[in-house]
Amino acid sequence: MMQPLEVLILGLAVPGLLPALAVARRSPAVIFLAPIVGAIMAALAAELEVAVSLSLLGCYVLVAVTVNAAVIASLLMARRVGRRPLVPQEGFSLGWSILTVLIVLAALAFPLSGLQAHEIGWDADSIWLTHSLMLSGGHRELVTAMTDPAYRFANPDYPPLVPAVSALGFALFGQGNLYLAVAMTELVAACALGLVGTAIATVATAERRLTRVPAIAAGGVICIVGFAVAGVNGIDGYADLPWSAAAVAAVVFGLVLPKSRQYLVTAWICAVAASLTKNEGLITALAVMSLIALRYRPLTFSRPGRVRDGLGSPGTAAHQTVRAWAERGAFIVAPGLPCLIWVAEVRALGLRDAFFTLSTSESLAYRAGAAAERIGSYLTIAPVALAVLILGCIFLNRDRRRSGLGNPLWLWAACVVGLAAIFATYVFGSLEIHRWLAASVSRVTDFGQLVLYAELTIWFVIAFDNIFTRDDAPQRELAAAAGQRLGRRQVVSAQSDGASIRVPAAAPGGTQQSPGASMLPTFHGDG
Amino acid sequence: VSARGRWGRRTIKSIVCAAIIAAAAVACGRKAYTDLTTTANILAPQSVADSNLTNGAWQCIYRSIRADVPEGAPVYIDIRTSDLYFLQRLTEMTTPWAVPVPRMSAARLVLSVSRGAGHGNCSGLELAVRHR
Repeated sequence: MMQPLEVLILGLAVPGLLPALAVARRSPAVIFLAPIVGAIMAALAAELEVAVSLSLLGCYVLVAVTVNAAVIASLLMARRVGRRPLVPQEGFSLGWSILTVLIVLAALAFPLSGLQAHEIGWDADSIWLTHSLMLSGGHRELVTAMTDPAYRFANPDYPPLVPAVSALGFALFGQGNLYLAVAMTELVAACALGLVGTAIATVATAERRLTRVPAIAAGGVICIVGFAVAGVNGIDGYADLPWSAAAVAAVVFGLVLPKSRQYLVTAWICAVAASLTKNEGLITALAVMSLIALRYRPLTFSRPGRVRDGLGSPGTAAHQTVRAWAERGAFIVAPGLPCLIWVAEVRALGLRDAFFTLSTSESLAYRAGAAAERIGSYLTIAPVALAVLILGCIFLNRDRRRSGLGNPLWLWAACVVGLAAIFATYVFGSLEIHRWLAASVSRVTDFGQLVLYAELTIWFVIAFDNIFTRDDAPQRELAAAAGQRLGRRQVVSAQSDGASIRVPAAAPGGTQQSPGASMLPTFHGDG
Repeated sequence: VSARGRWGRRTIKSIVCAAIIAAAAVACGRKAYTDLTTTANILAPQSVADSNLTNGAWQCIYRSIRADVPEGAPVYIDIRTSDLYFLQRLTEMTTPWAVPVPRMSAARLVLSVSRGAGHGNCSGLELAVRHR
């Protein structure tokens, strides 16, 4: 177990530490974000290996040096213009951060102890380990193998994050122990779950210690639940848990936690990791990025009265609309670029998704019925989550908004869109439906299940927060009122600039923003 | 709103909060418990022994391929003597050392794996390498 940990720490976390620190600062998420950043850099190295004649290790060094140099340059530039590149997270003292990390690590330790059994699943062998060995061979061997019909069973078009991380392990320690690949896959999954856990621990209100403790406990529990949802596939080298956990982390950071640049960039990193892990992750991540774009750049409907009253002209309104849509597009395309590059590369090599290449004699209705039945059987938590959602929306909506948390319907939207993509794949795919469902439905629903469990833990924390909150708590009301006054002032100034911006109700952190940070403003409370 | 009304509203809200906490705790707790049983089953001594035996056998096949097959040689995995599992695993183990080809006519060597008592120089598995 020491070799995988060494690869995780020295091979992934150390090269990813500076970018992670630049994004998450002293947040406990930084411990889990650094290896994920390292894993993304490994995936980018694999993309580079497909294009240029270099080994994976050479490409990785090149990517890691470039990314770190870019981060140092941006930090220096930010210091020169006198602003912090990202708004630091409020209310996370070092003590709470350490406690959160320790609890989450302890929660992850038990499921990961299953790695001692050295189980290797079918796909872990036939797909992921095969890809890792392909990447280990260097550019020529990689391209030859990807286009070799003998490897068609291994789905060579699958994204490269998991095999790249494993191949990096082989580059550092050799191929004397092939199980290293499986252990690396699950350690990446654990890091992604750690991000979900730290995000949920952050849901608690900063000033209330009594709610911090259950929030941190909930963060630990969601890590164990993540492995429970995946079952045996959580420790035998399947890539479904890594992408699902990364996508759920993107959902919680980008669609639940208060709007801030820090959470936005963290969400993007998680979405990139999900998109580079599996094709389902790619589709889900693009959907999550679209929802994040809509949350941070909400759709606004221009009022004709404004033009009539001289508050705007049709020309400026059109310009603002174009700009808003351009920004929304940039919110999707920028983080989606790494996975789109991979898609372009596999298309250039003439590879196609194996699930849509054959013809099927089953009708769409028949396939839809079978898929709906089997997917539904794995969503038994949905009625409980829905009941909690309804109760929460009726009784705790004010508390949620006061904490600056996103509307829970965002979370449900992400869940529904992710499951719809899976459903459509089954319906329009060409494999025999029952055998296909039997082989995969338990794994591909990990994301939907985990999102619903995350929703439960979030409402758990909000409810705890409410029980220990007195409606007339003077400090909190005072802070909220001050924040609202500040918010109204900033709303007016921001709207005059053409953007629809709202500022934290309970956090005067918006004042820390420089005018130059207007592209990624701090937002709170999206109703 | 009167004091009684406020008290009533507060009480209802507290009950709802307790219900949400209980529902979330029970649902997540139950799910987390399944992980305890899954992990315990995986770590059962027999399960660990089986996994180690299988992994050791394939690691041995991996070494045998590098010892018996010239680097870069086009090889054909014999489907007649290997089932789907063996076909995929053998293809995997040849990567990136040799080049698996889909037709026997293009291959220099034919590889197959068989299992059974008697031949097992790799914990019950044996690699066969034939020249075409």
